[in-house]
This record gives sequence, C-alpha cells and structure tokens, in this order.
Amino acid sequence: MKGMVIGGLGIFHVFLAQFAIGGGMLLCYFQWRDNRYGDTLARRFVDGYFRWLVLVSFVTGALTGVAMWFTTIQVSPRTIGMMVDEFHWLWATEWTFFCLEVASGYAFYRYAKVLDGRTRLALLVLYAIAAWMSLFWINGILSWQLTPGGWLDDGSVWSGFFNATFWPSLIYRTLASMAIAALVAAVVVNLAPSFDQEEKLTLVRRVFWFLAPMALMPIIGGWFLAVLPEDSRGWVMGGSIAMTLFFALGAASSLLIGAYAFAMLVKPRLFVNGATAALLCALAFGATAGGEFVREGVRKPYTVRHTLYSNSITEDEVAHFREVGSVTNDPYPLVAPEQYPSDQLGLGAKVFRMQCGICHTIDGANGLVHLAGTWSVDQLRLNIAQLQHTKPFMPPFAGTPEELEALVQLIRWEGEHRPEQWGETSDPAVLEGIAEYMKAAGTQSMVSRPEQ
Amino acid sequence: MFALDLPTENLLYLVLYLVTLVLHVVAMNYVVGGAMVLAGAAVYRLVGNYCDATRSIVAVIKDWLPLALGVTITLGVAPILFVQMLYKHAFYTANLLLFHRWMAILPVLIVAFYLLYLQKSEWLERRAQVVRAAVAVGVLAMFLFVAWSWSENHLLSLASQQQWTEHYAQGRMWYLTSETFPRLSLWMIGSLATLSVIVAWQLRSQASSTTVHRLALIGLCGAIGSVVAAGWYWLALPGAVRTAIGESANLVVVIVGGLGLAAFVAAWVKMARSGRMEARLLWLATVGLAIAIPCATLLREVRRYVALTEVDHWQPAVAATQESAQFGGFGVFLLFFVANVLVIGWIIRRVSQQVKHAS
Ligand code: HEM
Repeated sequence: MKGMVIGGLGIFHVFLAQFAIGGGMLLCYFQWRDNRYGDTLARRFVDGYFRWLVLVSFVTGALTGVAMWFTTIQVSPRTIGMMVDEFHWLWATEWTFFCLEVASGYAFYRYAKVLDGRTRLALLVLYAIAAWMSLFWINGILSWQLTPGGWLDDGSVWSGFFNATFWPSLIYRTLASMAIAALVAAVVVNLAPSFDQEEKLTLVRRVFWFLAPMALMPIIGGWFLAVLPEDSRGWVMGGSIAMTLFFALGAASSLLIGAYAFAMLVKPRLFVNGATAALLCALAFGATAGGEFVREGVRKPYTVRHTLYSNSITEDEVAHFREVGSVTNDPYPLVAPEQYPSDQLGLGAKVFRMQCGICHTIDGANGLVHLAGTWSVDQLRLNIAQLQHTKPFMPPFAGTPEELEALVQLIRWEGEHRPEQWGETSDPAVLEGIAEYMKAAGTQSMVSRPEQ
Repeated sequence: MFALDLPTENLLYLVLYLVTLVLHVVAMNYVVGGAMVLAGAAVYRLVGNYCDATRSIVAVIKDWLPLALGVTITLGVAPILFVQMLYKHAFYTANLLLFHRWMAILPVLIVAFYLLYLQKSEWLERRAQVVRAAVAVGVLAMFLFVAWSWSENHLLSLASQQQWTEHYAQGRMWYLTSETFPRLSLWMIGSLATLSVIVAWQLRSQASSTTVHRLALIGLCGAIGSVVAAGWYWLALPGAVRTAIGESANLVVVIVGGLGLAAFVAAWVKMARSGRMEARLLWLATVGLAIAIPCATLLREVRRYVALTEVDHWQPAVAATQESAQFGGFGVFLLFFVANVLVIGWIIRRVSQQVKHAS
C-alpha cells in the first residue's frame, strides 16, 4: 500500500523536476534570442516564465524531492539504506548541483532585471546544467535498481551507475523534460495578460519547437525496452495487464502530444489556446504517470534486481527464514492484538506485515482477500508456498510452514468477515504438506539470476 | 573525547555530517529567528506603529526569507545523507515510528514556503493588519512545528528498543519526553543570535543607531536566552550524558563554545553602547558565533553517542559504515564540489559587481 503512495508522489515529483530541467533549457534558448537578435519579446517571456519556474519547481519541486526520500524510507528503509551505502558520494555530488541550481536560480530571480544579457544567459545556462546534472546522477542510481548489470559481479559503483538502462532512460527523460517545459510554457503564455494575441502566437510557436525532439522517443523507448531484462519486458508486453495498460497509456498520451505538436509546426497559423495547452499538459502528466508506473513495476519482484526483494528480504535470507521464521525475532508486537481470536491469526498478521504489507492491504486496495478470496484453503496453501510461480512478479515466500499456514488462516478469517471464533490448525499433515510444496517451489525467484 | 575511537572512515563521515549540519543550522536559524521577529512585529503592529529601524529590519527579513528557506532545505539534504551513513537503524526507526506525524513536515513546509512569498507580496500589504499578523504567526507556527518534529525524531532515534516497542504497540503519534521542550527552546531561542548577525551584515551600510539597538536586543536575547535554555536542558539530560559532557575533552568544547558566545555578547554590548555597527565588532560577533554553533553541534552528538554506543545495533552499524566507505565516487564528489563552489563564488562576484554598477 505504501508502495502506491510512493508511486503517486513519484509521478508528481518527476513531472515537476522534468519541468524544471526542460524549463532551464527553454529559458536559455529565449535568452540567447534576446542577446543575439535583441528580441524583447523573448526577454519578457524569460522574466515571466522564470517566476513560474521558481514558484513551482523551487518550492514544490524541491520539497517533493525531499518527500520522495522520506517516503522511500517509509516504504523500504533497507532499500534506501543500500542505495545510500553504494552511491553516497554520487548523491553528495548531486547535492553540489542542487546548491548550484539554488545559487544560479535565485541570483537570476532577484537580479535578472539589472544584469546584462551575457550574465543573464550565463546564469540560465548554469541553472540548466545544474538541473540536468541532478537528473544525470539520480538517473544512474534509479536505473541501477532495475539493471544493476556488472555491479552484481564486481560491486563497482561505476559498473552499477553506467548500467544498461542508464543512457536510454537519461535521454528519454531529457526529451520528456523538454516536452513538459514547452507545454507548461504554452499554458503560461496563454495565461499571461501582458502578451497580446500576436505575441502569444509567436511565443507558442517558438516553444513548440521544443516538442520536436519527441520524434526520437519511439527509438529511445525501443532501446530502453530492448535492454530491459527479458522478464521485465514480458510484463510490459502483455505479461501483466496493469503494466501493459500503463505502458499503453504513456505511449498513447505521448503520441497524441506528438501528433498535435507536428500539426502545430507544419501549420503556421494554428494556435494553441490555454484550454488546449492545459489539456496537453494533463496528457503529459498521464504519460509521466504511465512511464513511472512501468519503471517501478518492471523491477518486480525486486527493489534492487537480484539482490533485494520488494519486501526488503534478500535472496539469501529466504532459505534462512524458511528455517527460523521471518517474524521470530521481530521485536514489535501487533497493534491491538486482542482483535485476533487466536495466536495463529496473530502470527499470520505479523507475517502479513513483514512480507506482504508493503504492496498489499488485507481488504482494501490490492487486498489479499479480494485477490485470493476465491481460492480454496488448499489452493491458498499451495499458491502461497509457490508464490514466485503463482505470480512471477512476487518474491518467494520466506517463512516456515507454520507462518504460511498462519497467513492462510488470516486471509480466510478476514474473508469470512472476522468471526469471533476461529480454530487453529492442528493437523501436522497440513504443515508437512506445506513444507513439501515449499520444497518443490524452491527458494529462488522465477527471475533469479542464472548461476554464474 | 567521544567518537575518537571510531574508525577513520567513520570519522570522515562524522566530520562531513557535522560541517553540513552546521551550515543547515545557520540557514535554519535565519528562517526560524526571522519568522519569530516577523510574527512579533506583526502582532505588535496591531497595537502600535513601527519605528524606521524596525521597519527596515522587518523589510529585509521578509525579502530574504524565501531564499533562506530554499537554502535551509538544500543544506538539509547533505546532513540527511550523512546521518543515514552513520546511524541508519536509529534514524530509520524513528522515521517509521512517527510515520504520518513525521511526513507532515513536508506539506507544512510547502504551505509555509508559499506563505513566505505571500508575506512579501503587495497583495498582502493591502490586507487588514490582523490578516497580516495571522499570516506571520501562522508561518512561525509552521516552522516551530517542523523544528519540533526534527527534535522529536532525533530524540526518538536515541530511545531504547523497549521504548520503540512501546511506542509502536500503543500506536502513539507523538514522542514527548522531559528533554523535548528544553532542547527545542535551545535551538529556537539561539536562532535569534544568528539572525541578529546576518541581518546586521545585510543592513550594515544603512544602519541607524536605533537599528543597532534593535539588532543588539535581538542578538542578546538569543545569546542569553540560549544560555538559560541550555541550563534547563542540562537539568533534563540523562545522568550519563551529563557525566560524558563533564569529561575533560568534552568540557573543553563547552568552554570554547562558551568563550565564543561571550565574545558575541561583548561585541553586541559594545555596539549597542556606541550605537554604531563597527566592522571590527561585527566580525567579533560573527567569529564568536562561528565558534559557538559548531561547539553546540558537537555537544549535540555527545547525547547521541551516549545513547547509541550502548545498543546492540551499534557495532554492526559502525562496521557497515566502514565497509560502505570502500565504495567509489569520492574523487568525483571532490571534483564537482570544488568546481561548483568556484562557480557559485563566480556567480556571487559577477552578480554583485553588476548590481553595484547598476545602483
Ligand atoms: C524550516 C525548516 C526546518 C527547520 C526549522 C529545521 C530545524 C531543525 C532542527 C531544530 C534540528 C535539530 C534537531 C535536534 O537536534 O533536536 C534539525 C536537524 C536536522 N535537519 Fe532540519 N529543519 C528544517 C528543514 C530541514 C529539511 C527540509 C531537511 C532535509 C532536507 C533538514 C535536515 C536536517 C537534518 C539531517 C538534521 C539532523 C538530524 C539528526 O541528526 O538526527 N531540515 N533541523
């Protein structure tokens, strides 16, 4: 469930961050026009648009960035801990660019009016470089989670950073940033009372040139898909309905924006009014949502591929927890344990909290009762014991047969609307059967790395 | 002295953590101290009028507060990275236990950030005085909430496993101990001292004697108030921490910090008497503060080390940090750190030259 929150926040943050990156580039272009051709319209645009950039991206963008960090801690401290351990110097490097972004951005914001054209351009170029460099660094860390590549063998930061999906996602995000900045600019231009109709037409046409590189998106997107691990590609290409749908949503939205941009660029008198520009922005948001959902989704069942599962259990720990239990040493009791009529259900609740709660609720969004409610008790035992076969984007069950049975009973009890009486499983044959299922399923994920 | 038995790699991270935290604290002091002054001034304005000196102090703070908040947040990112390198388990546990309460600081900061822009807008200037006072007090309340949350999170990160377990089992939203308020008041009142010096530098060329008196009052309230708050906090500290602070090496830090604060007080008293902002004395106040703040930040760690070195997680955490230090990237960081510091220096020089030229 927390995973959905981070997903939602992530989409919002990425949209704002990409707006800041593309916005920096767009402003450089217009300032250059002012310097080169004495284009006063371009200069007025720069001054107006920059205020929006500061108000939106410096405030909400910066704080949703911090929020991403905090939310990631909430979702999986172990994942963020591993990322910090591996890449702290690169994160610290990214921070130096945040500082540059703030310094150049605020200097421009406060003093642009009294600066000469060259200094204005220099500040904007520095701002744009700083914003893009923060993308550069974070992109390496995020893409490492999906395709850690050579890092798995040599543990080197650079093998992990310059991984297979690094370049396609960096280029794709750069193109997306340019597109978002152009669309937001079209909205801003339309909203600004200081431009007359002819000026609006001129400006919107100019900013729309920033959408032209979108033509490369299918190629770069194809490159990204081609270097994805086979299983991940499979989810997108029909293996997982949700992921395929989100991928289609992203692709269709981008296509619509691209088609509109093309029409706009070939038809000189076509104008984008405020409502259309806002609609195109909403489509761009949809495309970002689709893209981010796919990026988060294709990593499953891992948060760091071949290393750490989505529920923060490592590949190596699965076999260990099957021996000693996943919650045996959990120091945290249940909140309101009296709600469970038996110790077994309490154990099930702890197992749910440890292994499933990160992505599922019991009875709400992505709820286990709904997903597994129609299974018979034996199906529940079998399907959970071989979880990684049941759904290859789920990690293997990492606990003892007793824990698994407790989880099964919890799902059934919740499915029956929590009756006051609920017997405990006492038949040893049940646990033996579960142990057999688990043994047959093995401890490896379906997408685990072939032995080297 | 505490922490000196750590492996060299861990000490490097500790130093980086402390340096970046000090920078964050300085910026945060401007934000919190500034919000206090603005709120106080706005409430006062409901019953009386400002003198010119107060007006100029209020104007400069209002003008710079949004940037100061942006800088506070950016400078908070670096220590948050190093705090994770050093104390993952404790920091993450506190984050998770406070959950919604902790995460609430982010929307609160977003709203506060926009209110700062509103506060300097002409639109708000045209509203009734009571509305302006409500905005100023609201902004202050938000920053106090954020600061309180950081102190609360910090203290919870130093609690024992048993306290964590109880906190979780009872589904508590807050973590209040006898340390919370004295600790928070120390940070908050102390911020006035930093504010006084920074605003003094900002207004130096145009400061009237009344301005000097006002700023001296703010600075002295900050310095003396923080000594009183520190005394209060001393009484609330666990005995083991008091013993640790009493050890000779840590005591040296207390004394050096105290001397820094004394220099700060002396400088402001002299400036208040003369009614002039002499560069020499302003430098003395600045240097005094530049000594006192790192000392306070260092002593803050004593509290943490006394709590953490006793728990089971400590040795594995030290070993994990040491191991992480082997991962590459330091050279790249150093390169870009130096390059970006130089570029930022260039920006400041170039922009100030042109601003001077234009005016
Ligand atoms: C106006 C906003 C903020 C205020 C008023 C504020 C205030 C504080 C205070 C009072 C402390 C000391 C807590 C204690 O020792 O009791 C602190 C520590 C800290 N702050 Fe901030 N802060 C603000 C924003 C931020 C932000 C946005 C970040 C991160 C991006 C941040 C990062 C940190 C870190 C890492 C520490 C040290 C935590 C530790 O050692 O456990 N702060 N802050």
